[in-house]
Amino acid sequence: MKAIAYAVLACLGVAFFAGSFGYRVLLEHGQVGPGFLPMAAGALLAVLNVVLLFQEVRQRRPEPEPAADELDIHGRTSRQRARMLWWVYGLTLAALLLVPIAGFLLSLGLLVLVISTVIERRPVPASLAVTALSVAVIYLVFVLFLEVPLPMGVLETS
Amino acid sequence: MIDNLLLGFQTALTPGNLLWCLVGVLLGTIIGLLPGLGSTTGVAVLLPLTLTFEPVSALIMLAGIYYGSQYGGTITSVLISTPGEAASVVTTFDGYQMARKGRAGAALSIAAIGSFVAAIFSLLLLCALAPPFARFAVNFGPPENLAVMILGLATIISFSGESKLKGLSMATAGILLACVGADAGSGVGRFTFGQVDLLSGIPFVQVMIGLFAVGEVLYQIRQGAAAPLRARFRDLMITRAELARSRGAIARGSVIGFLLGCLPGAGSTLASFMAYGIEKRVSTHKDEFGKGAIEGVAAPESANNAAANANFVPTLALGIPGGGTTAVLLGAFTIYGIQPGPLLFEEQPDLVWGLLASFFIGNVLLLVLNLPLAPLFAQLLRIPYGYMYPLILLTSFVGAYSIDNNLFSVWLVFVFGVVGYLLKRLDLPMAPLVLGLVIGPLFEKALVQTSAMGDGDLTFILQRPLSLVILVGAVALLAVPAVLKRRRAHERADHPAGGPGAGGDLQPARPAQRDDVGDV
Repeated sequence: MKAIAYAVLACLGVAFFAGSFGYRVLLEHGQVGPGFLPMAAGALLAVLNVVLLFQEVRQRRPEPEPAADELDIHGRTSRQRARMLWWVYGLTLAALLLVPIAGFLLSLGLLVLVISTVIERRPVPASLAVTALSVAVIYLVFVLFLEVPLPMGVLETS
Repeated sequence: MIDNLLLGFQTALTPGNLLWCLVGVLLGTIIGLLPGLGSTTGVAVLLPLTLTFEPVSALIMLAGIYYGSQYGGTITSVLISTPGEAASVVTTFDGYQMARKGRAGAALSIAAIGSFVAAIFSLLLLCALAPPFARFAVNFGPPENLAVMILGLATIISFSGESKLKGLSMATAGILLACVGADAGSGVGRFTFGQVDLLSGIPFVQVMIGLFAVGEVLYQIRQGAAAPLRARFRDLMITRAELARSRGAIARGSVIGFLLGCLPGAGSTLASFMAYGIEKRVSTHKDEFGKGAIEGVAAPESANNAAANANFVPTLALGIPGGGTTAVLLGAFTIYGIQPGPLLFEEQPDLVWGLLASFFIGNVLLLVLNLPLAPLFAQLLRIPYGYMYPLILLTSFVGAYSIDNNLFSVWLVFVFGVVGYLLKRLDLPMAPLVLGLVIGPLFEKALVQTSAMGDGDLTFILQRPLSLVILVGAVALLAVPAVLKRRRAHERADHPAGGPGAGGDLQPARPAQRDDVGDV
């Protein structure tokens, strides 16, 4: 996993290095141009990560797999927690995609409710109360007090 | 100076000004608690409210918002690992770890005490030395600024544990991210792929919220829920031993903060990072850094508060803003028809000294309010994480949107949240990435200007005595520990275990074990 990260970073460095030549690296009299820093930093990033990659490959040790029976305080296994992470990730992505349609407060309020009830299996009345309270506080502070024009989606049109 | 301070206190201690000072620190604390809303945004948003005030009252309230919001940012850094500003990033390293161990009250208390001591120390220096310091700061041209930033990068790389290569790699990645957007020198749009949103660059506040707040949430979900805080109220209070341990850290942080805060542009962020790095080097509890060392909270908090006050040196004495918030305050000065600069102290003594005296009062108010409130704030950790993390996600995304009313900011937080999670999982340090991103534009500007001054010759930086001294310091910071380590290894080889010299190190030797303690 680390080796992949170093390889990605090295590629990123090469991309910046190559891209920097699209701008002027040096100006008249050899002065630093807009492409200079991306070129230098890109080259440095690539070299550093190639070195790190070689170190990683040379000292390769099997990554310690989390024990299957390693439970958290709610008795959830490592595999269950990994699944939860994917669910939270996916639900957050869905909520953000929903923002232009349903608005900020509705979609993110729904996210809070779904995570606390479905993913975390918290009692529904308490989760509803937490969601309502948090959305109300956000509305008061950001919309009414600070006058932030949060997208309201369907709430706005209705 | 005493006469001037007395005049200042006469102005600041009127009931009206006292009230506005209190309102300012309270509003500032609340603003600091909201992700994305730092002191700069807070002062800018609330500036219109003060337009009908007397200039001195308005400035007293705005200054109160400035240092109040810094403390608010500290609260979220400690409790939920969400720094309000770049200067609070370092506080998350040990403050959050202390909170996870049930010592959030102590972390918040030492932050309040450290900030107070640093504020009083820096204010005394500010009152006594503003004009000469301002004249010294003028000597800092682009080569010296470039050297200071190289020193800052060297500091953070030096405290990236054994993995200095990883620290350097992450700092370089941060500088590259800072290259996205319009170039500071020529205005050329770089690496934007035609996206208008990227023209103004990748904003570090959104990156910070993503890396630290959302990244931490994702990491905690994967690691398994932590038990809610069960500590008794009195266990949340700071102990005498913790206070004693923090004394040196507060003193060193205050000095570093003041010196760096005086330099226009260098700012509080660099000060907090350097104070942490130096503390980690000199502390007798090195092994606790990154795991909840109280010095790791005291030093950066003292440094960023001292730097925040020292930012007023160039602002008041030269009319050059020391940082983002003082730039907005400088705008407020001009709105009220006041021209900051060398003559300000002579022409408007009641206003300047009234403002400076209000800093003392504001910091006393913050300490009086926050010291008893610290254990109360820590009670927030009693909320089960199953409720807490959806709320952190909600406030992070809303806070990010409110920075520039743009959904692009929200997506940035989401993307950098995933990046933050991966970096934590892979044990890659995030702090150098943030520092690289924050100082990247300043670094490039200083580089371009130095190159222009040297007519294309970058070795020009070595021809200036001050920048040369700073660069030597940076090299020493990276080279000396390596030399010392090699010498110790030789000594160990000469004196095998049990022999003389074997127990000479501060830390016990742990062969075949990677020492990543306190990596950031």
